[in-house]
Amino acid sequence: METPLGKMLDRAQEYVDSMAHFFADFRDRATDDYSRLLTYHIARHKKSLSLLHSLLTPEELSRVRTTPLKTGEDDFLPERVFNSYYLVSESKPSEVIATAIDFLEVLVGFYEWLDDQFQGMPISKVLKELIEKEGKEIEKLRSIETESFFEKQDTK
Amino acid sequence: MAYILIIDDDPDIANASANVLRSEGHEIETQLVPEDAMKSIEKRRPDLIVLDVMFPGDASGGFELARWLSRKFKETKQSPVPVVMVSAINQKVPFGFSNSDIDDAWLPVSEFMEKPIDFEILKSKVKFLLANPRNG
Repeated sequence: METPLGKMLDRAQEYVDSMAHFFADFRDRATDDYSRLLTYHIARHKKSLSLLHSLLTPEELSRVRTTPLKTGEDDFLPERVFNSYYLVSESKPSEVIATAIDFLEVLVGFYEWLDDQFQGMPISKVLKELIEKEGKEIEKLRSIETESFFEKQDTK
Repeated sequence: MAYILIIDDDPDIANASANVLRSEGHEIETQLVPEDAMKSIEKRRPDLIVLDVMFPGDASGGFELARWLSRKFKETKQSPVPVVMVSAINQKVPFGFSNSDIDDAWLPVSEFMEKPIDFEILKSKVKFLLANPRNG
């Protein structure tokens, strides 16, 4: 049976939700206040797929969701990714950022795999936007790390 | 007249906000530390809260306090108190927090405002939220 794209988009949503849960668990244990602050930023990714609703009409989205994948279903299982990571309570911002980047790179890889299957179709434009959006976020996190924002400043 | 709690570790900003809102006829209390603010809220429920984000030693203190408030009022089945969050966080770290990030689980506030505070906007948001507390 052919897998519809909608199932993969749901899985991407499940992934960003799991990411928010992962960082919520860490937030409630974190002893470094800047590490905790970072979780509030990273958790915002759970809304990243709302881009679909701003770029596609409900009818387009409904049609796109039923489009079958060209190849078999991808082995993209969110829990598998999160099971192999753990942030200890004392984790510093650099560790939080590195973990978030790893998670986002997995997500970008998934979108790229999907995009390969839909070249020339309207959904490809949306997938490219998602790839670009997450790519920019990865760059932002890298620049936050490089510029050592959390070492420079007092809290206020 | 409403009872408004302002929570900001910068006394100049807290006092300036207090003077502006007092001139609108409201009763104002200011607190500089989240823990003291929590004790104050336990004693007397405010009609509205103006809340900073970053506190010394607790960079996400305002976010934590907003979540504590949300949990507290849910647990006791009380209607939520509107919270106007005011912060310079986006000037310190390029996160770009805005009203679009308001979220039941992570950022349960009514409004997000950037510092420096535009007091005319603050007055109008406070007026709106006091008249429409369900939007809080």
